[in-house]
Amino acid sequence: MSKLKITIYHIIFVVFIILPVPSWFLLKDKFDTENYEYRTLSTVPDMKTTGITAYPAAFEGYFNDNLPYKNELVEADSAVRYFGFKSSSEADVLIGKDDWLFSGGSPEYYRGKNLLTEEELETLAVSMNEADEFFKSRGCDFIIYFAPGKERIYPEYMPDAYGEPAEEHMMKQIAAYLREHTDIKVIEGETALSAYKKEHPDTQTYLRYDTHWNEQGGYVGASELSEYLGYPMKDLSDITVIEENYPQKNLARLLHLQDLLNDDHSRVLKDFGENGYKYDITNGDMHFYNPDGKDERKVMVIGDSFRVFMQQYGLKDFKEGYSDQYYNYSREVFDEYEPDIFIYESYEYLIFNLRNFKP
Amino acid sequence: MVFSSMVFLWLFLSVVFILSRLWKDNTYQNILLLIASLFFYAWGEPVYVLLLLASVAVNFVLGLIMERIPKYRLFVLIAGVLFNILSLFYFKYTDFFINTFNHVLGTGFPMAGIRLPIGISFFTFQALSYVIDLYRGKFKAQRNILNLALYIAFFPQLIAGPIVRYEDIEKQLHERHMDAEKTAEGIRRFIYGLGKKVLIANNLAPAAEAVFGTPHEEIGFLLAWAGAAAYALQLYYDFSGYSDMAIGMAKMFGFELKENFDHPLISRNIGEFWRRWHISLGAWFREYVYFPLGGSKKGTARTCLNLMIVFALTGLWHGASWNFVGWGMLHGIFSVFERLGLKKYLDKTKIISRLYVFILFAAGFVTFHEGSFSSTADIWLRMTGIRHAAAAAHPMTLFEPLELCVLAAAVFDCEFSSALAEFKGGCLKKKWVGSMAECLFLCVVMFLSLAAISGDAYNPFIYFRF
Repeated sequence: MSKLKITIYHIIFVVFIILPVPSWFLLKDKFDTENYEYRTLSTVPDMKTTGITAYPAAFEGYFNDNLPYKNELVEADSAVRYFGFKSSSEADVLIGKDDWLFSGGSPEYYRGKNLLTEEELETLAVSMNEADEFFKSRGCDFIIYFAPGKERIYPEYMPDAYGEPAEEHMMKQIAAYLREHTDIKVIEGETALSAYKKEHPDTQTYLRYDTHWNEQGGYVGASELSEYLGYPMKDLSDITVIEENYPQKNLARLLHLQDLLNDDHSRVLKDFGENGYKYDITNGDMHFYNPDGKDERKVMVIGDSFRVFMQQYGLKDFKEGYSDQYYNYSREVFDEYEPDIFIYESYEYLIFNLRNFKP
Repeated sequence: MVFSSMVFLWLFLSVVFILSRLWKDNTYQNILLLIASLFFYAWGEPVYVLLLLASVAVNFVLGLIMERIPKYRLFVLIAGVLFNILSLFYFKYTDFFINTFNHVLGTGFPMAGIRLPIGISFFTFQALSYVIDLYRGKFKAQRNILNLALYIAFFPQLIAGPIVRYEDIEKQLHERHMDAEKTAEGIRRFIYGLGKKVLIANNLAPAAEAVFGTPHEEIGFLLAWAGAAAYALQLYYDFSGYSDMAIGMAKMFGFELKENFDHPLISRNIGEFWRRWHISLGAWFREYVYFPLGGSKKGTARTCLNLMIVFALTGLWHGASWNFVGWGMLHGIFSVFERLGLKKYLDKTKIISRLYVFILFAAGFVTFHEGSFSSTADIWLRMTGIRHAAAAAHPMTLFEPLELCVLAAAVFDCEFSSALAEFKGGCLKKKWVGSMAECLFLCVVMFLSLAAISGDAYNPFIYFRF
């Protein structure tokens, strides 16, 4: 081996193995050290707390969490997989066609592999009837709204391995059963979104790198709800649309490619939002209000993140409303707000939470 | 602490490497490497490090007694073999035998629940080779316990081999030298090993899991083969990558270890396969079990029996479970067939003989994964096409594109790279080894490996703003 090659191998070892940790102390401030993992990273473990046998694992956890150049290395790894092989570095993210990203946990819903049994459906209907009785006793209307998963509306972008979406799936099954066995109004956003897509195939209603629908999707998805409440919405094509980049891309972030996947856009609906619909967020719960709203009835929306755009457009005619995540809801919240209309919203893949809902 | 972890690479290895450059004298080096090795072991086994030390101490004392009191040599040998075998038996096989006993006799003895010390199979076999070869007079007893401890506990080969025989390393404990070229060669070898483990084996693992995680009813002929091949190749690249890293690191510290893998899939029979696959283990069983049993010198029937014993023990060495014994026996049965005449036919055709070895290689490791005989047999039936899947999944759709590429590259590498390297008298290999292109290639491999390991450390909470 020539002297030059010997030197090169030594340099490779020094640069890649020896220098990263000491250099980090000097260069840390020049690199991205933000935590993109939606979790609290480990801190230096204390042997008094961990004990000697658990210490090594705790230390490795700390070191891996706070790895020098972690963001750059993870992004490089993910980029090689994604751009080089169209492969995902995260089991929770599926890479579909034309760079559409999907949630890795959704295929069993998509394929209809997790249908409920008759007994489970019956139990759910009993529980929902009890909830309905409660709301009726408090003079409140009860509405259940289902927001479809992205793959339900855009199956053509799903990887071929997953085939066609199942005709019969859990959301459809639950909606049909509740309509048949309860008096509750059940609205499936899928109906309006699928119909709209047929008529306007070029208008994107979901975000390419995120799980959620975009503002247009929220608008279309909320149309049946708004109509049911007495306020038919204008056709989306009559609304002024501004196209701008949308910062939310949770699936790209799971891949640590949030800085590289930038070519999707969100369409902001100009005629709404700031002009009519306003909201305050305190401790996670959201009070929304519209000074020009015609309807004095108080609305409460409990659900997941899909409710945000849904209520923004579907409930814009109400003077005020209260909204919160399903896991924050309690009877006290209901008693305090005393709504006239209660909407339980659920994203398709969180639909099982309905089984745990007690008003 | 595994070699392909950031704690090992960026903290342990870098610190030990720097310190080793400060003290170049072999005595100090040995002390440094021993301390590092014990720390390395204690990191994974804070309690069982005492077992490792006990093994060193007992074998050291037995070695001295064997040399100083010649008339008790045989007795000391027996004591040494018993100590090592019994400690291995106790920690690794107690529950296996209790479980088997309960199954066969219908008894209900409770399991002992003994946790398996990391690397016990490797360091016990090294200790055994020391005691047995000392008895055979191949070398003198080691009089410095630190040197014997370093031989048994040297971190590059402590937890995953290669199984080093004392006679191969005795001289190096005192007279090795480190120079820049040797270090560079060690680094080169280490990067190849890291790449094999991180970039190939780790990307084959999800492919194998995707297949074996599929309900068996959906596994057809093609998928069964894809899964078996992915799993077997994963094991090969994982293990041979570890061996490369061990050999490379040893070289960086001045030691020359023997090769542990030599293109096993270019073998044309099982006998040859075992001279190319986990060479140090095959050599160990040949030297300390097969030859003492009489090898092939006591007639055909006895040879066949010896082969079956050796392969059954080889299987059992891999894990305390009957599926490992079954895997060993499978290799044993085909070795016996080869001995009885199959080899003559295999020698006549290169393609069929290579295919035969690959089939046994891939099908054999299904036993490792599946555990039970019924489940293994079910996969085998699907691999033969006897059992069909009504709606079989296809590997092209089940695997990620990266996994497919890696699987194809692994098959190509195993089957054709050695022929390519030897093409036209090995001119390609000569041009490649030590070339600037190889330096750049390994630079990329190193970077991608570190990126991939960091990628594993990125565990975003699955949060969708819900």
